[in-house]
Amino acid sequence: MLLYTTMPMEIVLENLEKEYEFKELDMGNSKLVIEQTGINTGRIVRLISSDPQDYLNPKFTPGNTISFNIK
Amino acid sequence: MLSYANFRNASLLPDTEQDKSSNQATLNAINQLGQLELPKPESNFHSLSIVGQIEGHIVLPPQNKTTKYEHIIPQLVAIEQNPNIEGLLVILNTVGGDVEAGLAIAEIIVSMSKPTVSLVLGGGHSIGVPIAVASDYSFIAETATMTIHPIRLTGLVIGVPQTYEYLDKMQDRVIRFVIEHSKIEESVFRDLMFSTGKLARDIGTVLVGSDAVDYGLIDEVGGVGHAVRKLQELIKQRAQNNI
Repeated sequence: MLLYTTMPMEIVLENLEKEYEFKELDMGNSKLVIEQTGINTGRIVRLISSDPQDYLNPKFTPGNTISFNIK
Repeated sequence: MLSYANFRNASLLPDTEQDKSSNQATLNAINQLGQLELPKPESNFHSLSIVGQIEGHIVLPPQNKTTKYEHIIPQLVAIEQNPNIEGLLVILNTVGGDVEAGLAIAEIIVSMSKPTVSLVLGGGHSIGVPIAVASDYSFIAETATMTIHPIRLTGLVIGVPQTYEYLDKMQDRVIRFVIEHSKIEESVFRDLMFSTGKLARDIGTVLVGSDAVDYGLIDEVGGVGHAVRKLQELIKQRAQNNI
């Protein structure tokens, strides 16, 4: 990783060792990587889709909280 | 470390919930104010903000505000492909970030066939510089700043000549991109990058608003009004050329 930034590295990289546990939601045509915050709620970390228009959907913006249903 | 669990056949709830709540909001507006929601005017361009750290191949700790390249890149593809979107406005307020991710975003913006205008507000530092110059026309706010400084290596550094050569190569990628897509001369840009005595305890230069324009890095000093007007102008020009 080569960072080119004006911010001091010790501030940027503080707590880098923190462990994350992500879950993947299979939505048919796309996948959502989420960080679970409740039984059926989570925060979107990443969208994985091959349809570029999905990325313009504000619902799928990383950081959004969503509730989901597991069938 | 990341660990994944897989949920198959999941579906999102907010679809119905959000619809319900937006219906509710409309009802409330009618009840309380006696008026309907304002109609949303359709925009013919999209605006993309590049803020905080540009996140690269490693997820940055949560105290950083980040722009995620894996989301921005397909968005740019969608903007290029969608026939209803005629232009792109890039708004920058970034402190820099990953060299690879920043250059990837900049390269996509350069290669877009639709008109692009960038506006540096607040700051467009380090790797924000190539992104700012990547668009067809660039603006900088009067008080906005751009810091140009050498790239530093982080983490374990092996003290061999190859380390220096590698760093120099990475730096040249950034420099070449900037000089090719702006009016600044290579020698001037290198002088700014390696000048001493302008930054406390560091090498480099801070360019404020009109300085960036004087050096030829940015096209014009202006705000959001100028940027939108220029973008509409470029869109109109493109439409005329296509006929």
